[in-house]
Amino acid sequence: MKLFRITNSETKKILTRPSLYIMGIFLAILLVFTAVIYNPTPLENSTKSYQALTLNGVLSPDEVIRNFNTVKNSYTDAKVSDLGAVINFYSNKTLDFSTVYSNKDENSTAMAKLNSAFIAYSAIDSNDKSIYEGAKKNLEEAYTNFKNEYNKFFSTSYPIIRITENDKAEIEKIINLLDNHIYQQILTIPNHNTLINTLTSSKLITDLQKTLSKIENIEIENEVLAELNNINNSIKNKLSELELNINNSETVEEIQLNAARYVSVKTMGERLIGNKLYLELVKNKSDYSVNKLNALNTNPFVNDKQEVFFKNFISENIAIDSYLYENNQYDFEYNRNFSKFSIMGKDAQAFDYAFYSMELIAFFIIMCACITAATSIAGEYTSGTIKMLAVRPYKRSKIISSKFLSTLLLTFLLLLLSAIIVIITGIINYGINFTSILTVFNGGSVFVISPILMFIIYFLTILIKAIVFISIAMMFSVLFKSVTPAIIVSLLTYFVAPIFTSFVPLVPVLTFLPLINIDLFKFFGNQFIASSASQNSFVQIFTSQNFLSSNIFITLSLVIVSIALCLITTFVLFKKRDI
Amino acid sequence: MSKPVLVVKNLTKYYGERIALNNVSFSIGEGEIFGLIGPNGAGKTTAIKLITGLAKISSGSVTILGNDIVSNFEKAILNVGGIIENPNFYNHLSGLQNLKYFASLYGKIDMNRINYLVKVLAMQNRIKNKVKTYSLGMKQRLGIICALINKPKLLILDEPLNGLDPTGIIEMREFVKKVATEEKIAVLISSHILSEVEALCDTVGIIKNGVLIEHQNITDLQRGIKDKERFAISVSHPNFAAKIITKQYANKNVEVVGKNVILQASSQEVQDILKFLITNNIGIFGTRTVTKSLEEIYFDMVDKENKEGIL
Repeated sequence: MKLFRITNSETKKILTRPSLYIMGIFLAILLVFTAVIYNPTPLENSTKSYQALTLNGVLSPDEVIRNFNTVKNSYTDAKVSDLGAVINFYSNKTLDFSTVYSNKDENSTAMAKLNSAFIAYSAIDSNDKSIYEGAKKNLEEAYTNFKNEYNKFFSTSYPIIRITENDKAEIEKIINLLDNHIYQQILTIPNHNTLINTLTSSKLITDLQKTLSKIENIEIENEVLAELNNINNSIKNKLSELELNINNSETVEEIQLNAARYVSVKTMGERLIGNKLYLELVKNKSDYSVNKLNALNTNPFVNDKQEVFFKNFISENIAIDSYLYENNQYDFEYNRNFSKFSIMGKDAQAFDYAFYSMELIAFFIIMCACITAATSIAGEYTSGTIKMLAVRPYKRSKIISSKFLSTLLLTFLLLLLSAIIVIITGIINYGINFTSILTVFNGGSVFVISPILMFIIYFLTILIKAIVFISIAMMFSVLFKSVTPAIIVSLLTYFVAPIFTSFVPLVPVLTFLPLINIDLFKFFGNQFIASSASQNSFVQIFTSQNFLSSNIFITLSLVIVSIALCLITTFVLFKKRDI
Repeated sequence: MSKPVLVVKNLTKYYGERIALNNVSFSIGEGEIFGLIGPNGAGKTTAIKLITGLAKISSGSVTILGNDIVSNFEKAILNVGGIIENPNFYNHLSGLQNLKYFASLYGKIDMNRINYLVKVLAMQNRIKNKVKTYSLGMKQRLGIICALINKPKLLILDEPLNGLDPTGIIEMREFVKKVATEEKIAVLISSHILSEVEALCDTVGIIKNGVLIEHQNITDLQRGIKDKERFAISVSHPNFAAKIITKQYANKNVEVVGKNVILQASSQEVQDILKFLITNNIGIFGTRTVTKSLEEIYFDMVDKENKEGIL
């Protein structure tokens, strides 16, 4: 009750600050500015482009089918002629499977040679010096050969072979043992019986063969290709079914619908296969595969971090495509009817505009919140009013809570007001569409939710971000007891955090830094959109949070921990220090 | 003595190694005005900060109407109003807005109280102007209003007369006295202007180097030692009189001021001296007791301490 009272007074006091009105003017300018610069560029829409062809005048079904075939051909010409070619396209560009397999074959050959030389060696009579020396030499050569092959195999292909560290260690152990026995015993002790006994009893050769066979059992190419071929076949079936439908159609509308589905299924299938292949390739991430992937990607600056990011983005896309595909929902645009940035805009509508706008506006409002929070306590120290305030019947913790809550309340109200304005502007300019949105939560589960709910989620993630920065600014406010340094350091933190996120290398420890784990909205199917789809470089630098932590719960707990740490520091410092 | 409002017991404050306040104890009762005087850096503001809970107490205790300032801060401070160091306000707000803000911290804003105080302190004309346009004197007056807004039982004024003009000083003095009696407020004043403290306070505490070196009722302090007051005897031949008195009473320190001889003596001794002077044919026009000004006492105390310090 008392906390409510002081927060109420505090909020009223902040509202009288002249700087707040300057902020308000800027906010109004920004609202107009975003409305002016929002320029949605429609994506090339498969359904639309096909419809455009058919709607030029009234056409007979025959003519429409003829048009469809033209469209179909133009698609196949422009893109990839056949799904098998898609697979080739990806596999040629990615892994040099042949090298791996030739190495593996050579290895087996070397293994076989060693085996036979060993058998030959153990069969001979040691008393026959000439034969004995010859066999010994053979064994030695075979072993050296095997070892060379082995080394080559593991140095070049290990990174992309799916072999567990345990298996690899096992092989190395056996090779070491063989090293000891063969080199030392063959060359030093001319008693082959001892060697044979040792080798036989320790089953070294058998063990080695067994372990190596584990590698042979992994059919990288075939395994992936089999899955891809399944999808490929299923797509082919669906496509021919649709083609048949088109040919059997009687009305133009029917043809249109099936033709649009045809294009959607094709695009979806291509994407599904491409993405699955990509994921397969980055599964055993290593320098080797990253180099190979650089060739795959048109962007030559793919680094580790981006790879992780793409990996998550792609698993998201797979989730979406599989969901749509399995549910026979071929409207390819279905999952794209909602986006944050103009480039993704299809039929731009109120929510698209709202997301686009809120990105910039939230950036500005949180900046204002930082300034307000940094001024809250430091301002009282600078003007000396802290002594007037601290002798009122409120504990220090209540004073600081009231500052925190009032800043938060104002930030919330400003955000809410902006959101309402932005949605209304969106409705006026672009109309509103309540079609549900397909979204992927936390990189795996697919949900179809209302755009209103999505917008609320977005709003809440902005609010969480605001709380983080308000806590940080409060901490600096109490720490510095002076307005200027408190504002400077708070704003630096605010500006530097996203830049830092964009440029830090992917070092595992750094991914746990609280500041680079603030954006929670990326876990609602917007990783890619949030970080790379924007043409607006300002928005890109200051709003993108790259995908560093792949789990919303990890990120959320990091956010909570950082808020708690900042607030505890603030409370303890303010409580313990003399005024 | 009336019911104590503020009880300070063995109050001590360390700033690191430095001791800023050493074992200070005093108490102020209802309606009593207590003046805390002392040189700069003596610990006046430190004492006030400890009493109001702005700074942490190293040892000792402060109790306001039975509530400990540390363990029961909110209840204790509820009965306190004050200006600490300077009266600081939110400059972008008007005087009235500032008052309303601070009043709102105590619950419902009592406009009658605000209007009454504004009127009494003659701030009606400027109360709606922004505080940044105020002079120091006006800020002092606004500070007093702000301190009294919650009807406190203990009023703490740190240098309340700074920046006030002579009329303002007199008005302020009268106002504080009035408020103290009418509302039974205990007042703690720290000041450099000794004559004002003298005119205003019932009790004074002289503080130096963090130690309260003197603490008593101002009239007692001024009269000196109770049974040996200072007398001024107006005589016809002051220099001669002084000479013979010094001769007769070996240890007496006799001063001559104009037609007066001033000395310290018990009433019995004064009677003797008067008889002695009459027998020596010196005309006596009158006698009266003399009080020392607070300034004299202050410098006596501080200098004495200084000398002791040197020795």
